[in-house]
Amino acid sequence: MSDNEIIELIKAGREDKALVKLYKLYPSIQRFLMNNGASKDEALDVYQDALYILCKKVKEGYFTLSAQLSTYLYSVCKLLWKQEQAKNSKTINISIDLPEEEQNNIAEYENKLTMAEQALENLGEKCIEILKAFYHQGMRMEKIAQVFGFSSEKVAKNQKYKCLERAKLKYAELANTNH
Amino acid sequence: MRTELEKIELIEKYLLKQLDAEELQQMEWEMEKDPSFKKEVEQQKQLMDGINKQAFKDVSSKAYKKYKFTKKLWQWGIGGALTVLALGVIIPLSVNISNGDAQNKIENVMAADSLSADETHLKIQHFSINTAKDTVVETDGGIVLSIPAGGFTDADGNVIDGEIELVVKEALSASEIISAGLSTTANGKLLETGGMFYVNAFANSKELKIKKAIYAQVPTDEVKPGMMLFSGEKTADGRINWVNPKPLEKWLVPVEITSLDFYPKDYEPTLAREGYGDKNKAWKDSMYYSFAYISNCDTSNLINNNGEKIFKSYCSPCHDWDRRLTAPALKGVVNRIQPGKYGDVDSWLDAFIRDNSKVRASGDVYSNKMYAENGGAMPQFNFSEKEMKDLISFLHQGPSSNSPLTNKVVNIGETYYSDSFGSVQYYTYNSINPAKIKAIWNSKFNNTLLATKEFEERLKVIFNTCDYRILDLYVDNIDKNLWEIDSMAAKKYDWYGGLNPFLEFAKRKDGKVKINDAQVKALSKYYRAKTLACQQAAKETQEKFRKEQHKLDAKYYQKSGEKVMKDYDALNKNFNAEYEKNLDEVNKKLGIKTSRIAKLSYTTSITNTGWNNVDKYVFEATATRTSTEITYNGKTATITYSPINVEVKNKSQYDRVYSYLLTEELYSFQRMNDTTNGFKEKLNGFMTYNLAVVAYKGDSIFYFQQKALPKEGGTTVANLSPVTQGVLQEALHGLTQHSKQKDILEDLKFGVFKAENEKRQKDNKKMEELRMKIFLAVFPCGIAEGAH
Ligand code: HEC
Repeated sequence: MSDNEIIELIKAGREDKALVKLYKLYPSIQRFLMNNGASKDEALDVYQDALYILCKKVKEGYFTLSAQLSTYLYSVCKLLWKQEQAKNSKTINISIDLPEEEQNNIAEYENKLTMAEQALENLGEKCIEILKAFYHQGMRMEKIAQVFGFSSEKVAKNQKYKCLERAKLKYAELANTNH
Repeated sequence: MRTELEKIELIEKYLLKQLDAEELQQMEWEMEKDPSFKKEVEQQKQLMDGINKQAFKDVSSKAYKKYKFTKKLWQWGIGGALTVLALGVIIPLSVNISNGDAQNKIENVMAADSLSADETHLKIQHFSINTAKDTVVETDGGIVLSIPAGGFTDADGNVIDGEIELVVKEALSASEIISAGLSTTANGKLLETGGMFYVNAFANSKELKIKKAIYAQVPTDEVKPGMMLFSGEKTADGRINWVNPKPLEKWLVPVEITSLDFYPKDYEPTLAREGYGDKNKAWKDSMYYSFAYISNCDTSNLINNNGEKIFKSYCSPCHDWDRRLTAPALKGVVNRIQPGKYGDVDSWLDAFIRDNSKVRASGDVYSNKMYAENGGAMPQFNFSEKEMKDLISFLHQGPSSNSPLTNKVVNIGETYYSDSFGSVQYYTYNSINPAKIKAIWNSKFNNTLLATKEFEERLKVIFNTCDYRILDLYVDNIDKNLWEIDSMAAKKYDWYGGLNPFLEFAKRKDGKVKINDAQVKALSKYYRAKTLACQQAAKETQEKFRKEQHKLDAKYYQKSGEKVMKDYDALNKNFNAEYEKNLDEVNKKLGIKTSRIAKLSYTTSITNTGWNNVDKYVFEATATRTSTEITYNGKTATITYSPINVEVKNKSQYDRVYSYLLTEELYSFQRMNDTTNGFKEKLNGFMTYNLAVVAYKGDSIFYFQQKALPKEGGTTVANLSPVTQGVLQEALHGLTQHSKQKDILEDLKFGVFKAENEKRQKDNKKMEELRMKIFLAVFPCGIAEGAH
């Protein structure tokens, strides 16, 4: 399967298929990351983050295939890992073959995304599931009420907003301490 | 003031683009005005992204698992399939178990089973499985055990149906085998092993017996043909002996190949659904093979010549052999090159292909001249000596006769346009071209692997992979075991999750059909040549047919156009003649003397008095074919139009019926208007009409005529009787002047022509619709786009 076909799959919303293909690139990246101090889990996390960035860019139409996908993912992984290490006050010396501007964009984006993820972390399983169902799967509130056992659509909707409110508070807190 | 939740809701709507224009404007204004609100929006957006990321992680983790799983399967599939033999298998010996707690019992059994005291080095792996259903377990070392439902019995032979405990020990690497003290001798001979494992099962701590075979796939990197499965046995002196080797191959029985079904799975059901189910095999074959023109056959592996392959891969974007593309055709290039100081053509070519700019820079006359003529954009190529030699020798020899360079193959997504076909675009991707099936589904392949029920079953799956390379794999390896090819296919087949069907096939360990090397080569060659020939033939037939139809369409439309113009002209002339006739008669009656001026230019309404008024009434009466009384200077003239009906019995039984009115005064015949039971028209009282009715049914002609229809109209029954073309011509001759007879005959002839063409187009359209449906059965991944 060619890079272009993978990208077409992502565009068509078939990430599930595309990702299986993209994991073929993982072993070499994993080896690289682990050689540079990542644990198995950390390596997988970094790769997943890179995949998410790729998919997001593709879906939002910002991705043009100028190099091979593998090269791109490799670079993003290096960047993310470097950033991750920097957070722990470690510097690793690896070169990243991405334009400066793009590096900054990705770094900034990843920072914010990490905060958002942290903010969502302690929300509780149910909240996360509801939010995922609504925002990601595009499930209608009526259906969500049914699936999650709320007495009415309105209750479900309220619950969803409450979840979001908690996440927002947490996010604002994180944003303040980080700056 | 909004509550916090309301705010969240608003922002959410904004982010999901659910605000209407007004709300959006308000929102944007607010954001601009209030930076902290804007920040909140930002943050909520980030959170949404975070949620999506969470969901993405789920998908991603699943994909990772799937990826890992497929990767493993391939290893086992290949490993298991090709190297099963390196296995030593330790079969548990039945030992009476002493009492003790459950775990103790199991350990006791395993201790008794152990072949070496050092076996305790090996980790014991426990699996809880339910024997009510098929189970597949994977050990730490990657051995996959497929355990069929009801695969175990207790000591008394009762099938166990429920929870059992499966215990496995494995020693897959050399170091593990050695440290576990497991030797690899088989009756005194050293056994090369690909790994050993111990399997045993317990229910309620009681040892079970294997009733149905467990299938084990063992991962291995090496491929060693000829391996067998051994069972471990402890000898009296406490050593291990590997005994009872089991062969893994199964021979296949070929049958008459034409008795097998090599159509794609949906092909015949589709025909049946469309009402062509009981056509014979020849019809079905020709329908199926006719699709060979649509898809592309792989062309690269049709080339045997290495130089030609290089040419095809590296040079063909710009060069063709005998046709100029962006760069010159390379046919005859070796004769036109003037090598100059390079001495001979080959050295020149070598230098030029490696770095053409360098050759020019060296002052070489020929390349500079050529560069000036062509503009130049040839890249540099870094070939090995051998590749360069092959390439240059190809430039001398040119393509072989069956090469795709000489036989242009249809491109994927060929479009045909024709009025009768509409414009349909077919995409087939790498689907299996019917030409390939035609090449193998014949007696040439009798007594080979392909002439087996087992291959027939594979083929159905191969079709669904939409990857002709898989089919090629089977055809090119007919000397191998079917399971080996299955394994290769499993590796090659680009599949998404679920079970890889070829791996499932490989597990069956289906063997081979004996065949010698020469046959293999000959058949492989035959397969390619025949595929190409068949595709070429299908393409030519289709193209010829389509071109013909296109031509016929063009001719039909041209003739129709001409006919319309001619009819229109006749209609005009008839009208003018009738108008003139009416005017003459009326003027005579009214005593108006006229010169025939300006009669025909009477198109605008004229309101002044005078004879123009008379003209106008006459014109209107003629145009609307209605009876009119005109009074002028105390005199009255009457134009009468009397309705006439011609009844044709069983009109609908005929394919086509025409009814003509013929009068002396008019320029040509007058066609009557159709009604359900016949025809109608209005007769002008100033004229005398003859009637001719002609009908067609198949090839037969029917005719009725009546001279001098009654002036007052009424109903006439046309009793049609069969005639020959000659009789018809005679009869018309007696009925009207020569020019009108000719007009009618021409009109009838055009009617036949039109009917033929309409039928032809309808048939084509129907066929194309059918073909579109069949197409999807022939190419399971295909897309047929377009409309009629
Ligand atoms: C990107 C387009 C391109 C490719 C690919 C290319 N060529 Fe060319 N080739 C040209 C052009 C353009 C010329 C005309 C010469 C010039 O302008 O310098 C040329 C000229 C030639 C000539 C001399 C033709 C003559 O009429 O004397 C030869 C021989 C040749 N190419 C061989 C090859 C071979 C062999 C390959 C593949 C290994 C190849 N070319 C690949 C563009 C190409």
